[in-house]
Amino acid sequence: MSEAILQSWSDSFVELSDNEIIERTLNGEPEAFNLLIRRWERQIYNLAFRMLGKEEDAHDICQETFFSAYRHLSKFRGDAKFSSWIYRIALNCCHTHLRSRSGTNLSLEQQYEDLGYEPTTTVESINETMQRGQVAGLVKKALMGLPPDMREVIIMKEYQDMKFHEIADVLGIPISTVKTRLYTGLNQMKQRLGYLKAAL
Amino acid sequence: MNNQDNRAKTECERKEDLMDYLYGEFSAEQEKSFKKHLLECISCQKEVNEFRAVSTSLKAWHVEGSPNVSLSEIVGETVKKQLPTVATARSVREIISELVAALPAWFRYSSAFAAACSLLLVLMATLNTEVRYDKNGFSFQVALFSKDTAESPTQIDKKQVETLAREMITQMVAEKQEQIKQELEIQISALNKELSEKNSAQLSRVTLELKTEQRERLQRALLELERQKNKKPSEFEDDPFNLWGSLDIKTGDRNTTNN
Repeated sequence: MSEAILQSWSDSFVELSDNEIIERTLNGEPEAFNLLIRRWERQIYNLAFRMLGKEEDAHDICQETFFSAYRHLSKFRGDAKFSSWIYRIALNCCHTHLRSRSGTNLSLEQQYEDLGYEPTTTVESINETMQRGQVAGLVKKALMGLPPDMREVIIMKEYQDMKFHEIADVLGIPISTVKTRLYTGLNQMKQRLGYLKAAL
Repeated sequence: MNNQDNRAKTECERKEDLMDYLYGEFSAEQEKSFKKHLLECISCQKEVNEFRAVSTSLKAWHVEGSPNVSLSEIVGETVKKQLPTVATARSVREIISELVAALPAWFRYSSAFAAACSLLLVLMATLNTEVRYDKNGFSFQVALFSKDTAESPTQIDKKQVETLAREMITQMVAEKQEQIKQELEIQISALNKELSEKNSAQLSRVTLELKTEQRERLQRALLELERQKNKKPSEFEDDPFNLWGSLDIKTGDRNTTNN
């Protein structure tokens, strides 16, 4: 019975926009915030997982993000998009986390150059000859080796399917900078994937 | 080899257009124009194919699972209470219950005793109670209706005893009430003293914590300031929307990005 009530309560919120839910939360219905969590937790988790590469870290970031958002909810500007705000909080948490474990930037390119490997393999051949699971492993390694500012742009574009202007909004940078970072990031990914495949 | 690649790419300056084309963010007209360019630019053709392959590779990495975060998990009850909430109306009964629960036990019991004594007196008066003490000993009689018979010498005695008993009980109740009042005053004064001591101790502790926290924050801010001195100013700085405005989230690895 109570579940049915909860369900109907939840259903009444489904049609509400993010901003309306925030308004309700601030006006004395803190449980309404759960709906915002449900709506955005998967995207935030995916973003954090791909930024940090570890499931438990992603989970922590996810909690930290929503905790921060909840605590600073009154600071949220109604004219902005909640998605941009929550992504920005999540990315800030990720960067803080990355700074705390400094030295984990792999700089694979340099390492494999030092070892004498040649990126003779093209990315096209990786997709053709390797199994999906193997490619996923290579991609994860290559992505983790990218500088965070390129990694986040690639993640938002490739996995979160965000438009350039949305990414620029989240990061607070010009659209042209987003495109340049993406271009450089993709180039680096191409090279890293080639090196990693050659090193197998 | 990398240098050769880079030289080849700098031949065409339409990197941003390439991104728009690759991710389908061109208008129909712009796309048509860029396709025309692609037919002529070998460098762009090569990059489009390579980036499409990278994109395909990237899609191979799937992230399974969900964190299943809930408000109660991330936010304790204390934090929840920090948000403004609408006060719900409470019934008088609830308020009285809360008030009674807040009273100390000794106060509740002594009040109940006084109330019981008063009720007993009222009952005795209503039921024409007769309390007798003679050679047969102490006797007690209750009647719904009083007798209208002539007074005998023994009845005079009875009346005297009754008056005495009434006076005695009244005196007992008065004494008890006085005793309760005194005890109450002592307890209240002790409670006030205890509360005042607790408050001042708590105040000192909170002040100390605040000072420590402020000192730590200041140190952190100074460290951060020191760290940012050699970096390019953040684009977030002017954005009040950024919660971590003072933290640079994107310049950290900039030196390595432009390799």
